[in-house]
Amino acid sequence: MIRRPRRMAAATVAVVLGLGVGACGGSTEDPAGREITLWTVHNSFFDYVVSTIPQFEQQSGIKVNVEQLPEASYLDKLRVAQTGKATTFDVFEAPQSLTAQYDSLGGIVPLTDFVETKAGDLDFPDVIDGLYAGCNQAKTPGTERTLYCLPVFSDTTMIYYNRKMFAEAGIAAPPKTWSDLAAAAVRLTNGEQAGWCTRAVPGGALYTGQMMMLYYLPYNSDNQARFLDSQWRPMLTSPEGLAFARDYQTLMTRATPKGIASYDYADCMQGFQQGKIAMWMDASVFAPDVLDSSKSKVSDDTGFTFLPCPPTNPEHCGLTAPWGIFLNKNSTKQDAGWELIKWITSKKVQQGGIADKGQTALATRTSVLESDLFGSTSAPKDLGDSMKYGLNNVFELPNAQPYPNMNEVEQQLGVALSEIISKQKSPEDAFANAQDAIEKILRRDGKLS
Amino acid sequence: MPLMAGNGRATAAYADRTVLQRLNDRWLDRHFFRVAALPAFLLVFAVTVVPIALGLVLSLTNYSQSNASVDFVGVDNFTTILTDETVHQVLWTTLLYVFGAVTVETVIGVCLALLLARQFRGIGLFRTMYLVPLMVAGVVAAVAWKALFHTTAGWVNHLLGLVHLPQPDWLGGPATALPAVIVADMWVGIPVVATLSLAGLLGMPRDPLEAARVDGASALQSFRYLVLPALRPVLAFVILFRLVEAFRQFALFQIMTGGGPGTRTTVLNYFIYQATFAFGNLGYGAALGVLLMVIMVVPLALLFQLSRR
Repeated sequence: MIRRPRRMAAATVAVVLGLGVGACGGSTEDPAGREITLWTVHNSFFDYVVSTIPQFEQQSGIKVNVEQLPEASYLDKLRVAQTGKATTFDVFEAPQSLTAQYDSLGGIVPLTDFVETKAGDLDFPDVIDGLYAGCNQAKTPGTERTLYCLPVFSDTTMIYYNRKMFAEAGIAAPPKTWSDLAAAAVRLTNGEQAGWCTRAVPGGALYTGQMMMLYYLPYNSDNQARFLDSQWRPMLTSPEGLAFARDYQTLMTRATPKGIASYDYADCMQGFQQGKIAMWMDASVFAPDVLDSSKSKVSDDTGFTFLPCPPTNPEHCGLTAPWGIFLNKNSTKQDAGWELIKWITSKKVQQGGIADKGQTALATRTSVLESDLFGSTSAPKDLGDSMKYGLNNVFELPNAQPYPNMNEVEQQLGVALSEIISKQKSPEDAFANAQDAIEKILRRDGKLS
Repeated sequence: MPLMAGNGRATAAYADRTVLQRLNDRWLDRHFFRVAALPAFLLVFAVTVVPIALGLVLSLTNYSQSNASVDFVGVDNFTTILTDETVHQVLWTTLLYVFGAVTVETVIGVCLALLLARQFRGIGLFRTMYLVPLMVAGVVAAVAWKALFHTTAGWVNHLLGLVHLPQPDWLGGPATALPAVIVADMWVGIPVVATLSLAGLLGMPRDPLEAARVDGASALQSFRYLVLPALRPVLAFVILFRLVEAFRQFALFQIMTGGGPGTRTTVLNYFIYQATFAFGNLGYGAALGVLLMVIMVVPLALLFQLSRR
């Protein structure tokens, strides 16, 4: 029988050994047999990915708890969890534009090491580089970039148009310039239908407004944001910025459905699906919803196009704002989480999603986007061509510094666009106010003197 | 066996207890209600006073998600609030909404209560129907009202169109967005006011009203000189309750309008949410929270004073 002091010493040694093994667990853990939690939102393409999780569990031996939340409250919950250093989730999906914010909260793991040493069958070069620009952050411009996520869906500017309405109006082909587009939109507008639709609620207008803005503001790789120049000065009251604002108001007040000021993407999509909207500009991810005949009355008449880049910005006019899939820094099962990330972004899952469900938004790999999968009813050729054009001309700012408060800055532009659409202010006044508000924020944060 | 008799004298059982036990008994006897209330008091203190105090401290800092260090900045956040035109706009919108909604709900609610206080066939069913809005979750109501007010696909404009009335862009029009939210709030507010006022009306003595009727007083005179004064404590509580609810309102604004168009329906509670959770400026958000607390205290204090008279 062991005497009490020796028994206590043995227990202490066992505890210390156990802690030691646990401390080393981050680098030597065996992912198989672990249980991890994935946080994501409900949408049609990610619902398909979630449906493949049982296959992943069978293959890897890793159990996955999936928590799918409504998008409206998801980002708030994520931010609170990041701030609180929560360990209740291991892998999560989020907008790439928030990478800097999550990094400042100490909530995400750099994936560079994982890609370099634990790639397995990832085939990283196959991932379209325009789709993970937001994941690739440098602490300061010119320094080495760190990869924080992988793109979880493909997303670029897209114009959905109704071929039948175009034919009836005598318009032979989709427009190729903004002036052609505006003219066509007005021509296609009558009592029964609107020629143009795009998001107009404050948050939504910000996104699609910037899609249009890229065709007006001259491109400079040293700029700090889409509408901030290299010195952090907003370009809203520049001649180009004001030209955009005026054209934006004309288009959004003369050729859009009644009540456009409160329209979000769901409203535009519904109007397009019901055959009440001739052209709808938004992200390419909604293509499956307009091609689904059970949801769309115009599935057979839908065409896809991408407005060619202008001379002022010949190669960077495609706005892409995809979400990425991240590893929670506070997770104790990072290796298992990495295996899940590789599965979710794998060629197999993407090909399966497109072939089985027409989920073209899953195509984040060159090999998938250029495959024969695009050429069917559920994945038409013009959709693939438009996506390729947009992703080959992605708006990137390689020298932009990470700025955690970009959300707040962009909000001011969103409000200005909403005021322009609802005619509360003239384009000049709205943009002048937004310019002042943004400059105040940037001065507060030491970006502007 | 009891320790003390009904006349307050000690019993034999009390005489058997030790001095310490007797001291404990007397102390417990004197302080029983305080001791019984202590757990509840501590809980309320922990979840109200402590967070308020922490919020006050936070409002004096520059704590935000992008700040590596948290510094004490004194009243800088409050100075920003006082000089920021957006905050002035938000405050004006908040006051418009709160006083507009509460006034309309109180007037219509009291009228409804007077109607519901009458006895006629089916009144029980009628009274129950008016409780239905209270059973619907706020978010669900907001989504439903957003659909109802949809410009082209909503029932409101469809019905207006049937009678050839204008069909405005309710949620996107600068002049109509706030009234639309007020209407949605009234859907719950009026039943609440009506239910509480009805309880007050039904509890009123009937004799003074009968006597006034016999003496030839009109319905309006009875209401003004008898019913209203008797209802005043109930009305004070009802208005107080609805004021607090109006200041707290969030779901309707987030779901129906997103604070837009522009900032036309951005009220203070929603603005605090944006500053704190959307932009991560917790220090500034806390300062806005202090402002909201101060703004709410003023009308509440006035109401307490009025209800005592």
